[in-house]
Amino acid sequence: MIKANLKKCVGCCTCELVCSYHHKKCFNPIFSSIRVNFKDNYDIDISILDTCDCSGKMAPLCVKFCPVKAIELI
Amino acid sequence: MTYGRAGKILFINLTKKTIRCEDTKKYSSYIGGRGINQFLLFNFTDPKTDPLDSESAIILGSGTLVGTLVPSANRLAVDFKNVINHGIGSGNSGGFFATEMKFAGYDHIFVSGKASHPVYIYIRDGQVHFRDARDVWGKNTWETENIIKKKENNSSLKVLSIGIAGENQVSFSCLINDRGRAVAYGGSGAIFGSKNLKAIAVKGTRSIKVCHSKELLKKVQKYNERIIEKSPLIANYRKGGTLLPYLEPGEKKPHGVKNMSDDFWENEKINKFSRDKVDNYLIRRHTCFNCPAYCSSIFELDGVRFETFEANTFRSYASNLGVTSLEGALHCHSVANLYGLDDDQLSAVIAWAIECYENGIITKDETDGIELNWGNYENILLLIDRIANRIGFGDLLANGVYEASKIIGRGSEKYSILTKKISLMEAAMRSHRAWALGIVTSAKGGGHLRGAPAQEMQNIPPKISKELFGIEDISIPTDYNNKAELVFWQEKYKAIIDIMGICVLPTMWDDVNLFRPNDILDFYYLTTGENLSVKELFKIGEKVNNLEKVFNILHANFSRIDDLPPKKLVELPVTKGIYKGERIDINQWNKMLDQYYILHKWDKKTGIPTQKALYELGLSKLVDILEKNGEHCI
Repeated sequence: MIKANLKKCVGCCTCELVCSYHHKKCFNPIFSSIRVNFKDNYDIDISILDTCDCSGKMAPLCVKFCPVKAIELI
Repeated sequence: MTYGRAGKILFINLTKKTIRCEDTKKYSSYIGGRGINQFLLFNFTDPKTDPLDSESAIILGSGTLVGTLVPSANRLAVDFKNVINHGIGSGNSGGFFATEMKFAGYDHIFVSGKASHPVYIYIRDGQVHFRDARDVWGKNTWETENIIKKKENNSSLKVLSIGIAGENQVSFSCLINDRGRAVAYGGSGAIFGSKNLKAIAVKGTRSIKVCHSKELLKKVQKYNERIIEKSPLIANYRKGGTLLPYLEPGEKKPHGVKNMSDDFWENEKINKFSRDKVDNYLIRRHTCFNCPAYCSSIFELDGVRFETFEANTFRSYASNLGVTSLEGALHCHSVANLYGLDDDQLSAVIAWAIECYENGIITKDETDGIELNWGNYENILLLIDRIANRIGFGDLLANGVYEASKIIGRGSEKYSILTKKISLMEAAMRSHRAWALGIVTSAKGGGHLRGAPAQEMQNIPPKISKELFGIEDISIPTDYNNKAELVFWQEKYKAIIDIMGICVLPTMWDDVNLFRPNDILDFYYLTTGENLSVKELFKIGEKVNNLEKVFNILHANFSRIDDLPPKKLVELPVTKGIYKGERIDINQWNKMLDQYYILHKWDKKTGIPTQKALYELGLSKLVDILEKNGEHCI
């Protein structure tokens, strides 16, 4: 299961890009199973959708490419 | 199949409320970003057109690598006719807008005409909507973004807007996207304002496909591991943005002080802005789209949250205005973002007014009773408010230093620090030769983000500079030798960076290991499938620079005299510190400028590109255009 640490996240959305690549082999956040949402006060909210199929995988792309190690596999 | 690019350029006419599209590939010889923007600007702008006429155009360009996995590729290039000097107007912002523009279906958006009443444009997946903005007119940039998101019922769309300063056509007003990213320099905000265009909002769900996706992922991973994670510069950015490396040397580094009267500022004052003090207001580290350098921050002051307090912000509101209150400087910066004002130009015009006031040229009778003195941020805030709203003395300052000093006269010109009629707000120009040359010759009128090489500050050993730039020695800042060569190199490199849509901070500009030309070419090939050599890539950069140079000659009549430094930097030396006594030697400058023109193949007397230069770059048509306009092209 993927878990995001909001305290570490800097909001680069790289996870959305690589996740969309994982699903569709193109770059398009709409296909991503991880969503980074910015609130009006700059707070970040991250949701993992049911479409995430990386549970049990060794190195999902979102974990591999996150520059602040804010995403982990638990 | 289009790889890397969205594939379309959108042309919007606000007068007729019409749109049309062209394929981006039609302009592929300029690749994208600033390259295609400049080609369109040159070909669709008559030299007689005033920048604020409805016929003038403003062009947004999302770089070719933007929206892919290439790190730090998120920049928006915005090009137009400069409101103050009528030459090139050019700005560049980070954030998330450029990426969303590509997902919405467009690499470039070309806007011309004037709406009959305030409007904003909403673009969603190729669909363009003209929306009534009469109820948004008068709102600041943050309110505008919030209102548009609410009206379109979409909290994730990205907004590029003007504040009240742009509506009032303040000559140095700017566009702001994502609340805190400014398209500074040239008056882009005034252009939107003159068109009754409050904002452009974009939302897209289209995909960006790259040619060799698997290999691109591998390349990015390798680049991140071997280059990004090992860069001391990136480590510093991550800790404290651009402010940390800028302030770390304290008074050993040159600072732009009190209308650039000096380059020395005491540690006692600098330390009031140290990172630990700034971090008292820090909410979290922040970044632009897909950038592993995350140099930005979110701060909170008096319950208001805003983005970034960087090296330039420090110079704008601290050293150049003599402000030693951190909260005062933070406040000025957030207010400038709300009004949509360019920090650099705003600081320059206020600094000029204070210096004139201190020297008795301007009196309290003319300043609406406001006392002007260094460091008084409360009064500076009053001035910012008056400039944005064009009230009283602020209305005069809203024209910029060049125009204001012409109106005031009485010797106020002595205190205007100008290049190509654009005011400067810089440090290190008295001591760093290439840095100063790059700023003064910048086609957009000043600014250190064109040919000014930060490489000059990196103490690069001669062996490395020879290997990387083909230049013998650039390690001594005060030496005039080899500096024309370095500026010539950096100008081309920066054009490439702007074409690709990469942020200039994590590049060779600030750390020579980052985004070397071969890395850029690898990323470009894997993204687009198009092969280029380093030589071909740099030739495209040079072509864009020459196009801008010719635009400046045709539209603003600039010549060699406009590439000379401001008198103050020649006459007033640095007073203290390690650069004590340094100033620009005009004879040495002229020799350096000669060499700069020789490298460009530009006429040494006039600065006009020679026929040879233009033919070699495939710009032979410009020879005829110059001749028809009465410019002699030897």
